[in-house]
Amino acid sequence: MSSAIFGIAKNEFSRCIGHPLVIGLTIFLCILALIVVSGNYMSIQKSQQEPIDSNVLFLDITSSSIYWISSILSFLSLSIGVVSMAGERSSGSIRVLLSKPVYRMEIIMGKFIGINSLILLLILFVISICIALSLIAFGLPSAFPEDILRVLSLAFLLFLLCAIFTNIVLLCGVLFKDIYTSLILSTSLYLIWFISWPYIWTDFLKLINPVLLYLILIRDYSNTHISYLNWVSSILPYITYMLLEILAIFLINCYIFTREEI
Amino acid sequence: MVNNTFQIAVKEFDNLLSNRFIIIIFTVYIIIMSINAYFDYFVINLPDIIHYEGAGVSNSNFLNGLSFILIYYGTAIAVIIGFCSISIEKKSNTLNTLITKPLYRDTVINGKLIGCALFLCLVSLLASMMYLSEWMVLMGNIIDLPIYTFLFDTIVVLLVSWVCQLIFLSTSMFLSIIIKDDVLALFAGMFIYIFMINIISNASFALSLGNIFGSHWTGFIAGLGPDNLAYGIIKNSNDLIGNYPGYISNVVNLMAYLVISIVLSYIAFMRRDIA
Repeated sequence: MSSAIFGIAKNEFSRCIGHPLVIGLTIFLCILALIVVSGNYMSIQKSQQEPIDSNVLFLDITSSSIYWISSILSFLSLSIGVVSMAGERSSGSIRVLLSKPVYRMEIIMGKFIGINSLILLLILFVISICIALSLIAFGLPSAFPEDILRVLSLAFLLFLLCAIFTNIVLLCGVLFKDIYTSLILSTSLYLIWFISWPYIWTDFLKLINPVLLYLILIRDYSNTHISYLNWVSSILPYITYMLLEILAIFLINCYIFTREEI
Repeated sequence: MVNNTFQIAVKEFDNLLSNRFIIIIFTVYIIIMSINAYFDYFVINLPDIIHYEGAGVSNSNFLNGLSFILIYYGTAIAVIIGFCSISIEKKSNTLNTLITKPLYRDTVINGKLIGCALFLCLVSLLASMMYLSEWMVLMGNIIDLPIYTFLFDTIVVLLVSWVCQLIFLSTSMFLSIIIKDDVLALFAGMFIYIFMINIISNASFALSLGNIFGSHWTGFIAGLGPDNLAYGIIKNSNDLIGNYPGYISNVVNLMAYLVISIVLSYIAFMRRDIA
């Protein structure tokens, strides 16, 4: 990676990590994780039923909070994407960057890497909080190494979803100079993808809507009857599809941004 | 003063009608509505599904779908309309021009609120008509009650969902007034929407809190969601007078939300330096 890309990525990362939305939503997610784990703990303490397998319990706790974590983090990736590209274009600060001896493709790549490394860090942080709270409340599960692999795969899938979101928001920022157009389009996209489609589970729609695809892929995450390897091999083609989707949108971003008059 | 308020309301309504962002959002609303109508059609026609309201498509299926559309998505649209009404005018300096005129600030905010509320009313009416026509195209005649009963039920749904939308509209206006950064203002409004409609109303969230603080908290927390309060009123629409004790607390809570959010936006608009 060239030093220019690294520099832009580092700048983007440090600029976004101090944004009030990032700080506020991360604190909110930690509180949400605490509520879910404590709620499960109290429920098990009160119930008179047979003890549940620690392995199942561990996976259930992470999966019960994953929808909220996913919806909040993809919302966050959307807002960071808007701040990063549309915000800079609207305020004119991107012109300073363009006057430097860097290729435009390096700018896009730097921004993409900076935002996504922040998102990856946030995903790992929030999921680690979930795991830590679960371990404190219920102790070590019986198949801990496999469970950790499952959780890491889940985190990777969530990262891919967020990367698609940031890439599309960057595309909106590249296409429209006005920040409000980017804002309204990004919010509309979130409403259409995250709020409306998850109720419709058909094979064709999952290829158009990444949220739907993501929800279908994580469906068997906590199913201990399916081994980790079987689960991963069943979702691998879709992971490749998501990666190709990210690459395609990224190339479109680069193509438009390198040819456009700022 | 009333005349000024009326003029500002008309101007606000007109601005919203010609705003390209509102056109984008309305298009999105129609897309979401069509997806939902198709989904309802898909679910109702599943061979193994058990209809708790009797076999076949009924107008209560339609009213459930309509209340979901107007409350769940209509409130999100209200957040964006509230943002457009304050932030975009702030950016283009039209709000600044307006508050330099010899008008009381409460006249301005009254006019804005009335204009936006009427606009939301129009959006809900159009959305309901489109949703009804989509259902009729997909599922044939769905009205199995006398037409006046059906109209009365629809009006109840429209009115209750309108109150919900007004809560989010005034909250979004309040956030747009107090937060200078526009991106943050919109996303803060959207976060409040996600929190109130997706998280507080969620049964597992309420159950988790109920497990921690005691089971009597579960119902209380779930009941804090404006959508749950609204559904609680709508389900009694067949006998609003007879079932009055069952839903009066929901009406009080919903109105409390509305009053608090409107008062907050009033105070912010009166005291805040808008420019």
